Amino acid sequence: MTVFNKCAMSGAAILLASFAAAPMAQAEEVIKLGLSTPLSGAAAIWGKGAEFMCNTAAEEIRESGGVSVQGETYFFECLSYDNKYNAAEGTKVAQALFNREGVKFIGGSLGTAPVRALQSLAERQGALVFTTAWGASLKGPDHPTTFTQMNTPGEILPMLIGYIVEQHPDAKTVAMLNPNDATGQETEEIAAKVWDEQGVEVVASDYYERGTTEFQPIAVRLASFKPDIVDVGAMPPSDAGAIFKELELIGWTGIKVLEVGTGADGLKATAGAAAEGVYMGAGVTFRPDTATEHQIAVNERAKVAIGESLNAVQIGFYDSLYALKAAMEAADSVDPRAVAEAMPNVTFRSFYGSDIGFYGEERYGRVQQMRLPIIVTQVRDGELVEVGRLTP
Amino acid sequence: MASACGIAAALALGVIIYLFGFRYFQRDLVGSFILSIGLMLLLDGVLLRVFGGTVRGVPEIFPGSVSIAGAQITVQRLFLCGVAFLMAGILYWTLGHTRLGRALRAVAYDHEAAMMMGVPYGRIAFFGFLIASLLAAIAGALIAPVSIVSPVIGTDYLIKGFIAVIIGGLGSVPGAILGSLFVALIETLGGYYFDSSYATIAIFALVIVVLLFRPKGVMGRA
Repeated sequence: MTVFNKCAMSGAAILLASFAAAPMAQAEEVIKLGLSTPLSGAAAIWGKGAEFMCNTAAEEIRESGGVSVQGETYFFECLSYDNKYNAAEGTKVAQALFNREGVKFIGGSLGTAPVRALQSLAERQGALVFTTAWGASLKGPDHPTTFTQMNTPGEILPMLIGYIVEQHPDAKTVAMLNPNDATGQETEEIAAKVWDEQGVEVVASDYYERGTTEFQPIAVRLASFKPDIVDVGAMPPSDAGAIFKELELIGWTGIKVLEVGTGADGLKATAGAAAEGVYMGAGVTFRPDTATEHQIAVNERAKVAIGESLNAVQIGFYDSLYALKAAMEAADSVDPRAVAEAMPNVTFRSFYGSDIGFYGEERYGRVQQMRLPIIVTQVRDGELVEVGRLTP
Repeated sequence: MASACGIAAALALGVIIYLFGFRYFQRDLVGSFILSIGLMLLLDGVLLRVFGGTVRGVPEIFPGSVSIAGAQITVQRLFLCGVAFLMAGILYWTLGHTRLGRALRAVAYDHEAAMMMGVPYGRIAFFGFLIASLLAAIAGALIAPVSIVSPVIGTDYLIKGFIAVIIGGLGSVPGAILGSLFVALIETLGGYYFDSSYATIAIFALVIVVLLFRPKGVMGRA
């Protein structure tokens, strides 16, 4: 065989192999999952962690054989866009995801203001939306394709505040501080009601702007009300840490609450020793006595990838993929409306280690909230410790 | 030691940015402004990529606190105030009483006239940029222990600094000090007596009033 013939034979073999492989490649169907999260600015760590968890779940689902619908196998692909935690960018992200990328499923979204923009466009296009946004206005019968992938104030606060009141029966007054945005305002409304129901008087309820650099005057004002409890609601952990540090400096010693607190790292970075004793409502611990091996392993990988332990916000972006897989297989369809109809009745294995489904008809008028465990944590000896857990 | 290294690194970065960027936009206010914004976004992105978005704790250089007239204040903040006064004094004296200062003021008022008088514009602009880099680096090193340190820490201080300069007047050191005191006063008193978010609104309202009735700023000349 001449050199020319050898080359010709090799070329033909490669061509044949390509034709043979083509149907296999075409058999792999990919479902794009849009993510609208902050990937820049102070909240970037949440977005990066969300992206990491979405990719982790997508990879796990791929390794376990994908999503089976009508004999076809589908795999997930996460497309992450930066909503910069504001409505204007949230609108741009929504347009890019739905109109340019052709996304029909939102695997997760973060921030009440940008998610409102996303939800509006999604509903017009019949897309399915998963969100971690806390705003109660995003839920209900008017939003039939929206599902919430983490606990929100409506779920967390009654248990968290109830637990704190039980532990500190002498505490009779609370001063509250929240960010001046949709998340802070909706959190404040629910928290004020729950504190009142628990017999704790709200002596002050202030707002501050995100991006504030000087917390001393705010702390002095809060302390001037002489509250037994300071509740910094939906503040980011780093801002909350700055407030607690200033409060400690001026000699205030009371009960510290960070309702949306998702982790101790950011809090400790700014509060130092003043982080001690802070109660949180959305924290997750990865200690061997409370976490599964899988949780610990994923968390270790996350620490390398994003530099911080995972939190409840980010975990929601893992659970939503398993919920979508379960609903698609139950509906035997990848049509978002059919998947949304099947979603309330499915159960799936959550990152928290148990099989869960959806609830929320009583509170929101529609089954749309993931039935996740509510974990009360507290900073003790510099570590975040789980002090209470309730699965609704 | 870490602070000294940080200041040295910032100065080195300042030199690079000037030589490869701002040198080509001299006497071009719009071009250099766009370059500044672009560099800010670029550096934010690079730092975010390299260090992640995690907030870092920076230990105080001077730990502890003291009581002054019943008010508790950290030694770090006192030191920060002291250094701010010292640097402002040195800058004010340098601009008014040294050859470099006079040359800086001359090129700021009228660069063409200054050049005709033999002032080496390029070299003076370079020194001016280095002084600005040094002041920013010292401020950053001192404010980090009492602030929230992340790759995007600069943005909020940049806006505040810009507001102070607008109120005080471009090109005036006493004006910049006065503007800073205005911002601090509103932030502190407003944050204590009212909701903190009202204080923020009041600062922006003050800027609007100044721009409407005294566009050059309280002590601005041009």
